[in-house]
Amino acid sequence: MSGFGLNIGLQALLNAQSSLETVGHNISNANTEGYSRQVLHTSAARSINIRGLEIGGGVRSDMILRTEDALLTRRIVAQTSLVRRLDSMLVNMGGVEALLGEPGGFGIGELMDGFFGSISSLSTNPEDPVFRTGVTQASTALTSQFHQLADQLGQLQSEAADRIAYFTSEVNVRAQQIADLNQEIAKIEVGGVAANDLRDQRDLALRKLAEQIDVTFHEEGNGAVRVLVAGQLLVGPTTVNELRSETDQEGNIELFVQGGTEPVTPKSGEIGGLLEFAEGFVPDLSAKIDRLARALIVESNRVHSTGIPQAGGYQKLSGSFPLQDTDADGDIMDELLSDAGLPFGLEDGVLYVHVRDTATDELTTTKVGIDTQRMTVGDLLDSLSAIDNLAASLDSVGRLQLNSTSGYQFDFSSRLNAAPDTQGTFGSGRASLGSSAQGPYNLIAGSSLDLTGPISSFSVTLDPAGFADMSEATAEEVAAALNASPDMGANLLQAVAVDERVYIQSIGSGAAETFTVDGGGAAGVLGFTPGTVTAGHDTAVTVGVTGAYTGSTNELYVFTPQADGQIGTTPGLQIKVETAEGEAIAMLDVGPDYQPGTPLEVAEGVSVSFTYGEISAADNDAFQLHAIADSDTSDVLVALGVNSLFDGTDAETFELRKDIAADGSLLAASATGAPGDNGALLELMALQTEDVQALETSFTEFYGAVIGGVGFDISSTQNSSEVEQFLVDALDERRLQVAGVNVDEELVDMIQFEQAFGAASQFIQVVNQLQQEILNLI
Amino acid sequence: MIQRPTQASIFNLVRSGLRLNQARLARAQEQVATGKRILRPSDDAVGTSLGLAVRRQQGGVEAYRSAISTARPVLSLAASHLQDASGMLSEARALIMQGMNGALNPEDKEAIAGQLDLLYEGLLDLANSRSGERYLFSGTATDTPPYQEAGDGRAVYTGNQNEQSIMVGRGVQIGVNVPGDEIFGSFDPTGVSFDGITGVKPGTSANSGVGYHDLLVRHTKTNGAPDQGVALANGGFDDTIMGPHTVTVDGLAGTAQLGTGPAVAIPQPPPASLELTDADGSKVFLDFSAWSGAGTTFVLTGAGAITLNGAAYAPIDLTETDLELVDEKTGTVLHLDTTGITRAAPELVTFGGTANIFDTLRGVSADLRNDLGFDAGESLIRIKERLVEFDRNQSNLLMGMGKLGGRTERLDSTEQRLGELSVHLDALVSSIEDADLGEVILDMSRAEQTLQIAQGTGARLLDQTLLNFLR
Repeated sequence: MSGFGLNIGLQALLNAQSSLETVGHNISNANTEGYSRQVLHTSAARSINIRGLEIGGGVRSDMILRTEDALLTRRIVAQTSLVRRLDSMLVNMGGVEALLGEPGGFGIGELMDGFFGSISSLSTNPEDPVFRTGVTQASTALTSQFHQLADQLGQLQSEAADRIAYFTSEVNVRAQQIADLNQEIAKIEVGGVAANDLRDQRDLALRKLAEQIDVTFHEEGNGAVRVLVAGQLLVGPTTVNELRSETDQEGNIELFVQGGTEPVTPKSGEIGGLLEFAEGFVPDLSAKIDRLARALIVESNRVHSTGIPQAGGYQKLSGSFPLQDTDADGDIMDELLSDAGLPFGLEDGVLYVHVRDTATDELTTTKVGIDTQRMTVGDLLDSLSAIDNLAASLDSVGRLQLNSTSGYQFDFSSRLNAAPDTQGTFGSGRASLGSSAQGPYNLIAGSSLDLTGPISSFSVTLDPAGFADMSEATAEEVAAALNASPDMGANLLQAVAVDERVYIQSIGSGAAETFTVDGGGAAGVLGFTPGTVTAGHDTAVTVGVTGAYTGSTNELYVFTPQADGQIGTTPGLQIKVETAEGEAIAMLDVGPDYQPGTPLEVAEGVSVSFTYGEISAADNDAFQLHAIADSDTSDVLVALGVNSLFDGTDAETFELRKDIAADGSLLAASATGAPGDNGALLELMALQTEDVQALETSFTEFYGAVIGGVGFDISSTQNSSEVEQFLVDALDERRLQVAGVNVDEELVDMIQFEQAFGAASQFIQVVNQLQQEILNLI
Repeated sequence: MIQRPTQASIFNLVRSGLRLNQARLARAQEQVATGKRILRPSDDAVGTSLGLAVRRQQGGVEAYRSAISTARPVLSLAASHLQDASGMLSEARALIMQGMNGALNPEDKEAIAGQLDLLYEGLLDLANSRSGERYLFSGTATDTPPYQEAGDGRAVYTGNQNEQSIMVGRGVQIGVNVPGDEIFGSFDPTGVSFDGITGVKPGTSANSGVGYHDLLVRHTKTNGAPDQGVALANGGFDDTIMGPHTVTVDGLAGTAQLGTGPAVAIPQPPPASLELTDADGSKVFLDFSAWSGAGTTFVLTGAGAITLNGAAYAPIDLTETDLELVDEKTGTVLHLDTTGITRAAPELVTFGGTANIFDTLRGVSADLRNDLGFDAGESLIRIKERLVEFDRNQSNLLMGMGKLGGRTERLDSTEQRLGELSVHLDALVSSIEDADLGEVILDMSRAEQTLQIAQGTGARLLDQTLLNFLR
């Protein structure tokens, strides 16, 4: 008995004491974060064969182990990253939401209303400088709101980068902590003892690390863990590869671990959330805001560029976007328009340019074809400069400059020419004879035309130098070649081209003006009958055009008499109107029932009137009228930024054109040139509600969708966050069920072990008493 | 099911329960305080989009309404000016009728002409009236006074025919002006007419021109061979006959007669200049001082020249049926049938349907003053001729007023409709974005209740520990 019994008692006593201490440790750490309840594991000691009996050897304290579920820990770590990502995004997106100022009415929406409202007010009184100022102010308010938003979004983005840098250093602190714990745990556990509290600490450190960035980890044999960030090693058994963030010039944020060459891309955690915010959400929203700004710029400019300012036209205009020498050969002129570095696209189409003589109000309309794939910058300048009294050039940075000769103004409107017979080829007082054949003409070098004027008979040999291809000679080229002869001027004659016909006419007017086409090689090709004497008239037909073209396509109306006769007099006299392509438009009766001067409806809102005079089908009388629906189908004006309303290409650069901001009268409100006309303004107003090309929806709907999208992103993030948080909570709850300390339970344990301790003491006392009694026997 | 509750989980439970219910309370409080259900887009993304769309629609309606309210005073001003103009025209018409009374003496006519001149000036002022800096009646050429007196003293329209419209709805526009030439002189040509004094007729070719023009047939020479000692007085210089006119001298009765005109008694002794007048008003002056006293019949033929508005005279060949006269200044082209001309006199040419009210008033006033020296009947013919155009212009003005009135009415009804729409949209925004207070308060009290329960049970739960019993 003796020693053996005491030993059993001592072990029981010590075991109870250890258990009590463990209970104490548990109770004291009941509220320690990450703490797992520890339990002293005991087993019965090996029995000893005494007296032929296997007598139990008492209790043995095996080990103190924490109650832990490693899988659960792993899941909690992963889930924590998810929640933190969502929370981080939520906080940041909330900041963006506040910036938008919607739906309270402090955002872009209200200012767009303000802009269109100011246009509406001006439309009631287009010449009023106060209303014009109203428009410039409303525009400025709108553009500044865009600037502010772009600016603040940029700021949020750079703040996010700063925060990422901060969290990166947090990550490194945690990583170091984990590495340190790794070493300590390995040191302790090498002796076969569980480093419970250190492991708890390391689990906690992993969880804290997962709050910053999503990690995966696995344990080594010696108890150390390796921690990986997106597949790259962050923490080894003893080492730390530090994480660092870099921001490149475009503001892109990249993360690297020490020694790694590829950037790591965290998917969650605070850093993952910030990255997604800074590189996904903000740029996405910025792009939408930019798109809205861009659409506002393009659509407003499209209308404005074809409007006419209060002065009735322009004498000088400058493009805002420089043409660029994209092939860097030192010459801008050879760049194709489609490849000249312009920020907005342009397409194949036409541009109508009107040049008006301010003294006589005579309007000359020129159609310039724009072929983006063939036309170079140089070609464009040539085409524009070829228009009489207009000069096109590039300034030092490559922006288009347009200047009209003094006394002339130009514009790009869709106005109708009120006096379209500018060349005097339709019953004017001039002696005028048109060629029967229309160009292009198949002329040969050396072709000539013989004429007799009031001074002399002469022959003009057409100079091949003036033709691009003499076998495809255009009427314009023939007219120019004829005019090159000094004999023409000496005989007070000139040649003009209308409707692809060559007209020879006297410069003066009146019945006394005559000339004769005598013949020559070119006469046959052009369709001049040799020997025709052509005389002028004392009374000239004045053609007047009124109305506004309401058609949807650009047309060139050609008016030709069907017989020779006097307006309002000759029975059955008619004027045929057809398009340049030969499509019949109208047949106008100008016989005896026609009162000269009465407007006749041609088509699509266009009316034309003729005063008394003589017109001739035999002389091939004709005049043309441009009926313009869209004066710039190519958008070349928008692309070059000519006569734009807004400068800039995105939210940040969106700006009212500077000279308009300074002088509201430059605002092109008029579609016809009349100061009280508000055609351009009404078109601008229509943009408020209609679907625009650049967005394929209306500004309003697009903006609503952007704001709604932000709201939707946030609310869905919020929902996800709630769900994920719930999951974390549930996992935490489960961990607490396994590893948490229930104080009541511990108290019960305490009483249990207290009693065990008492019992063990009692046992020892009994053993001791037994020994005393035996000793007393001695 | 919590298998093994711990203090920490109980504390967490209580904590999260309190947090949740407090958040609910705070949210409800926020809604009550602002009255809004949607304070930020994430509160209700769909509602926000919807609300924004309605707000933009509202913005559009406000733009239309502001355009209407700016345009209406201008329209009213124009209408009130036309009201005044209409009054003036009524007055003018009364004066013209008065002036047509043949019994009036020149002084009376002068007085009436003076009053008409005043009305002319007043009407011109009205037509050129402005609102601010813009002319009300010049179409969209609002920087140009619509009626300006041209070189020939005629008030001509210098505005344009365009209407200014405002947008009052998607694709809906209302015109807010009426161009002056629709009101004070519309262009609706009906052809040329003559007052018929000289017997000139329209030629075969058409004519171009506007308003009134003066055609002057001038007598240059009388040809013919008077006999029986009768001669042309003053070389026939004062005669006004054109073409052949027969002079019949009745020796027995002692009278002389031109054509079908009245027979004039030849006074004794026979005068050196006796005025004979034909039925068409043409005159010859004959010298009877050497008259033999015998009856005779001879034909005198007047020759002359013709001018339009005092331009170069063209000689008249009285067989010409299509004589072209051109006035370069006004661009007028006139074709005349001269075969009927029997008398040299000023002839009033009217391009029907083209004279404006100013032309008419000015013309009547000139006719009343009778500077050209017509007799009463001829004056009356001219004034009557002008009255046709006057009446046409008066009805034009009334139509213009009607048009403006119609537009004002349309503006008013549109405004009313937009006002109603605006109220409706307000209500719509409110229904989307505003909090339903009843519901919110109900939510709030529910949250409050839950919170209290949570607090109560939490307090009870937290109190439960074995320690309470371990003494």
